[in-house]
Amino acid sequence: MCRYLMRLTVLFAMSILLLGCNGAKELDQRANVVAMGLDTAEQEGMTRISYQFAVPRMETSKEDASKDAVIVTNTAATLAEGLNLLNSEVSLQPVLAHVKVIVVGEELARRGIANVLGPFMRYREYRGSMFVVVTRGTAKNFLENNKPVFVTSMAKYYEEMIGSWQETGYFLETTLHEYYTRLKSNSGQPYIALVAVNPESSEGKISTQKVPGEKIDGYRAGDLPRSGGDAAEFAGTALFDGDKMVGSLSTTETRMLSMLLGNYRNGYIVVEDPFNPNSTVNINLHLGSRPKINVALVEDRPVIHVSILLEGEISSIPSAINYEQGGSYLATLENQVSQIYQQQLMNFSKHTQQLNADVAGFGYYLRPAFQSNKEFEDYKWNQKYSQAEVNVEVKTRIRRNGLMLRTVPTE
Amino acid sequence: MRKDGIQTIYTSIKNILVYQPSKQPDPFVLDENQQDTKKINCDPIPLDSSESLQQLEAMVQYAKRLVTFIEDYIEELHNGQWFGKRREWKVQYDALKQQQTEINAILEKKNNDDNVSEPTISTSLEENQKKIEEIYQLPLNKDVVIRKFIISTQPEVKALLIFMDGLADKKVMNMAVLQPLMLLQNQQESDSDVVDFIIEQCLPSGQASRVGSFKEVQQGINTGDAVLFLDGIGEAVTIETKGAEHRGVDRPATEQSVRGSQNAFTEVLRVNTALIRSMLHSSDLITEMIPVGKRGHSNCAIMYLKTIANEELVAEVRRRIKGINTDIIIDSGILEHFIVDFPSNPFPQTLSTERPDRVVVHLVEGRVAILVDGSPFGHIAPISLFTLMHSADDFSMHFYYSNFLRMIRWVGGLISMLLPALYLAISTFHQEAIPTELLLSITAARGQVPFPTIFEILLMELAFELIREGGLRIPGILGSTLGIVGAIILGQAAVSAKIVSPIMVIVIAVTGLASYSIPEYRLASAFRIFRLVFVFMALVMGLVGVACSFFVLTGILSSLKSFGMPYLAPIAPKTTSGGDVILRKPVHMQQRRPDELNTQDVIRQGDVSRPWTKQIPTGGDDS
Amino acid sequence: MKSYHVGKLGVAEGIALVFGMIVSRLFLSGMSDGIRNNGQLYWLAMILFTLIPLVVLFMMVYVNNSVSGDIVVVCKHLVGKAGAWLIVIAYSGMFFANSVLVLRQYAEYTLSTALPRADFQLVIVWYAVTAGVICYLGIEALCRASCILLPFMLVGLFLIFAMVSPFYIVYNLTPWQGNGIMTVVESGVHGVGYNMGVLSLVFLSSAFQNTKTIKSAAIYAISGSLVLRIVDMLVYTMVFGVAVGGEKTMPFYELARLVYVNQYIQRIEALFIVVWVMFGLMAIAGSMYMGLYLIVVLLKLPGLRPIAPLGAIIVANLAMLPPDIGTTIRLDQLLVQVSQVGIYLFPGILFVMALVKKRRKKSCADI
Repeated sequence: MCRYLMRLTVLFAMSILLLGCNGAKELDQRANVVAMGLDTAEQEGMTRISYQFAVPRMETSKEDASKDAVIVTNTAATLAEGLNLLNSEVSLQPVLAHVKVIVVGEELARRGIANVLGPFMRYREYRGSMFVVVTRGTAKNFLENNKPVFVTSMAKYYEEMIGSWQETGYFLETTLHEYYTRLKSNSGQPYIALVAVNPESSEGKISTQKVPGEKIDGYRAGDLPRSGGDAAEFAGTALFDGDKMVGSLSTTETRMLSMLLGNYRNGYIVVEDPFNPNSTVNINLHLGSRPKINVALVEDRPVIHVSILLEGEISSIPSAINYEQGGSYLATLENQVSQIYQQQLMNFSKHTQQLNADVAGFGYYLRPAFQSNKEFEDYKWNQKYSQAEVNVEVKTRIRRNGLMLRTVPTE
Repeated sequence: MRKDGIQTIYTSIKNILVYQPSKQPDPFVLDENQQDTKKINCDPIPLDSSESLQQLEAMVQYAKRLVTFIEDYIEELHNGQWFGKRREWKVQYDALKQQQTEINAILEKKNNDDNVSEPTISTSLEENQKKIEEIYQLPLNKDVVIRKFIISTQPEVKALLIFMDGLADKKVMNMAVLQPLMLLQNQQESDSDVVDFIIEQCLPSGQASRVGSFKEVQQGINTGDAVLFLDGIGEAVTIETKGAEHRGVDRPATEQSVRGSQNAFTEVLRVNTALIRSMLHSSDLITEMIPVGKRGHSNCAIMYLKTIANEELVAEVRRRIKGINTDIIIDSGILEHFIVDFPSNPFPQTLSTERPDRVVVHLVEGRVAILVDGSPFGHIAPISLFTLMHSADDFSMHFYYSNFLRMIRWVGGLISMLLPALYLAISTFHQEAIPTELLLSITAARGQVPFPTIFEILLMELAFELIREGGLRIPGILGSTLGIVGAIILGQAAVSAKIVSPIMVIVIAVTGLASYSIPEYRLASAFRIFRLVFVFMALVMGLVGVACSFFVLTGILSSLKSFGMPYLAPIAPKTTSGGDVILRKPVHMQQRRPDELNTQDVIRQGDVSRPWTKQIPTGGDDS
Repeated sequence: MKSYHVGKLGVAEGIALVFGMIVSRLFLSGMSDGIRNNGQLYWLAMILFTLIPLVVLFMMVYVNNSVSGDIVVVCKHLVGKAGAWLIVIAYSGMFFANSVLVLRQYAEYTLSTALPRADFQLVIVWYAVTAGVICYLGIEALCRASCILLPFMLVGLFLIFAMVSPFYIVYNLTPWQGNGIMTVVESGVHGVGYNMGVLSLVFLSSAFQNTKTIKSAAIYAISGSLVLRIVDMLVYTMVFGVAVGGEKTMPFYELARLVYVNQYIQRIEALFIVVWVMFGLMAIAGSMYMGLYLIVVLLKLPGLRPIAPLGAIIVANLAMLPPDIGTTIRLDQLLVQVSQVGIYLFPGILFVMALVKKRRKKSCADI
């Protein structure tokens, strides 16, 4: 019995010694970062990094909700050093596991983010499912001025905001994983959603129509004609060639990109009424099936065929013309929409070909034509894209009419 | 020669260094039936045969020498030659005396081995009475009553009736023993045996038997029989008069059920066996009685179905119970720990129940039931872990609902073992797994608590155990009130005083509730012990520690055996299950008995267990 | 012949034993190396290096059946005492080396993913002690615990594969020839060392019920592991592509990290730590048990339990030897190459000798 107790005591003593922390930290010893911003710094080769913290607050306390998000900025050579400096600037140990969005300033994006991108793939606290956005202006500005109207928690705001991309297709949900795999895939170029902070004083300019038949053209983030609401705007896409930003897409072009990627779910289009050019028809469109894309090589030059089926639901006909009855009326309307979209898609491909940014990923469809990886790498798709010939065919089918069968005209 | 030398050196080093396992008998394994391999029964040879044989030989030799010595001495006396050989006689006499002391020592040792003396009943009534008074320390011991009377036969016989006050039923004694012997006139035929005559013709009692030694007399008196001594006869008669006060058959205290019989065992062994027999009317049901305990002599009953239960299993159970060497066994739980394979493992290796219907169900499956006099809990062996999670009225409900309840019980079992450890691991090591909103609100709540999470867990566990343990001992009316008061107010006050965080109260409360969903109390206790181990592992190594210890726990359970049957039987060694493991099949689809019990008869339902479905009903058509 | 085992193992336990030893390498860096070297055709290499050990296993079962007794007796009969010692010690060394390297890689894995601030020695000792405890409990406990927990772990794995389906890009699997067919065939033939664990069924043949059990267990385990490997490789390539896929240290962990279903089901890789820790334990304990068992059978020791702690200590100390993760991965690849000897050379010799002896016996009987 004595020996048994002795053995037990020795075991317990040893196990008390095992009780090292092993990195265990209580919940209230960590500070959670929910958003990060990356900018160029004034000095050459340095980056300015902003961190937005979420401060936990009890539901019952009625303190100022704006104190929930705290922003700390420091300037460092790399992200890792920035993290070290951050530790000296806040009392609790910062933890990056809950970062929801990484905001990249436009200047840094145009300079190239390859240098900053390194730690994202290697450090265990970052993960591929974090969202990335490019902002016009500086990221610090964006983070500081972004005070959302509805939610009190910044983490929830980012998730809700970015998750609502499906409603319109005006901006896309871009993650670090998508960016990185596109970057290394040499079958396409990466793209990142575009955001900006809209100074609330101006109402922005209304953009004029570019495509016949459509009433208005797209906007970019920061140019939306509005006042009130959140200071931040999510609209458009930034185009990248490799790791450098070379241009941007407006909201309508982003819709085209979304269609080509096959994830266009919902969105209203405003078209001129074909029989009454002064009024407009509203149609709610989505993709009927995945786009059929065919890429073939004709004498070393890629020829791309795109065939898209759109399905829609009429949501407003002010001119009271009875398009709903089907037959040639509906066909005319459908034709109108198809024409508009065909033109938009051609514009989109021209725009991207000029910038040498194959964001739609046409290179992927060319891969089965090759026999081995080496052959495909030798072909260098990204340079050949600007010479490609793009043929687009859009079919529209308007399936539903909303709650009204016909509109009886007023006298 | 060289090779031999190397070989010997190698073997000698090996013998020094290599571990030699101790010579233990192989553990019992519940194997397949040995059909048609009946061994020839030899007489069992006792283990220390050589020693007792030597002793017997020594005694026989001593007796022979004594006899020859006496014969020679008488002869010499007759011859008148003894004086000259005085010295030789003295030497022989001394040698014989020394031998006698040795023999006496052996005889004494033999006599002391049995606690009771072996003297047989003498023919003198006074001597018997004196012996009884000596054994029971009368008149100090007021429990034993001696009643002298005269039996009214021709000629009259003096008799002595001895019984234990309180254990013997007075009415039976007066009506069935004293009255016929004293009052009724009987003629005795002079040739026949008096005892036989009395037993067969005078005693209208249910059981009466003749005994020849005081050991059996004591056993009879101690259990409540009345013993009748007759003047001039060297035997006694024990008469069945058991009738001690006992609790009536009541509802089960710990295993309530919604549907299902509401009988429960009581403390009297005969009542318990009667309850089982009243549910299982089979001629194959055998009840063996084995006395256990040297001073206590309580009876232990083994019940099994002869044509179903594996014979080796029954023999093994019998062997283990007979091989117990202790003073007294008052509870079946104590008996259980004497006979299981792994007494140091907290997982229960027999099922303890106080409901006869559960016992009957398991008897029919081929298991063995063990009941102990004085304990209202019966034990069933062998069992698997899955049997412990079945409840009594699982079969009375529809199988969808009872399967749903069983899943809840299993989930409850896992929760009761793992939840605090998982919470500790995730909140201190792997915080990214918690959704951000929940994390922020937990952090806000926890931020005001000055203690680390492990301290909170231990404190709340301690509080919960205190409430539970205290609730056991509070007198009935206050019990539930204080439980509620303790739990709610203690929890609420602790949260307000910022000693624990609200989430911790929830975690511990859910864990406690989950542990009450486990039907078997001892299994819940085993889970509670391992919960602390898991919490400790999570404290040191997070989820890695929890995973490692869970694996080791499963390994320990897989190597656990309950009477030679693997503990995780239908799943770990994959055997045909019999339809009732974690989820159960509908009652008409359970055609086989559990394979791991290796019963003699494997099929318990025919192929078509509802023949009425195949027959044409007698009613009309539906047209 | 003394029996070291308490009970008899069946098909399910055999499957669990082999599966545990083979599949754990799926979680380590082998997949990244394979994808980088072979491209999109890696599945063909997997088929090759899975089917060849199955054939070898059947050969070894035949060899084992030709002589009654355990593996040492068989080898002594066929190739003599020195040959038997060489073969058994070589196999024991391979199993031990497997256990050591898997332990080291799992410890590194744990440090990178689950417990970044833990002490390295503590993690190694922890795993080694747990594996030692499991070996002490016996092969029965190891196999049965594995066979109970394996279905849940597989469900977890397939759940992850399903949850990353929004990220699938099917065109990543093209060009289908990857880096060339010949490269793939070569790496398939050289990679048989990954599945050396299947030979443990033959070494432990006295613990199994009969030959049919061994054969069924081998077929199910090997084909199951093949299916799992191919699905993993396809999903990994579809999600990451060949270029990015070849960069990652821990392929499966990266898949788990990517899961994002909605606001609440994300960042769940912490919960799958439980799955791969258990796989790792099965591999380490299984290989350690086989290594120890071969030594015990060779030296005719009375039991295996007393040297289980010894084995754990040796394995722990050996695992702490390599200086960094790069060397460890290179040593691992070296072990896989060296294990080819255990798959091709030794069974080949034994099989040939068994055939020869059988023919000789037949010719003797004719006379």
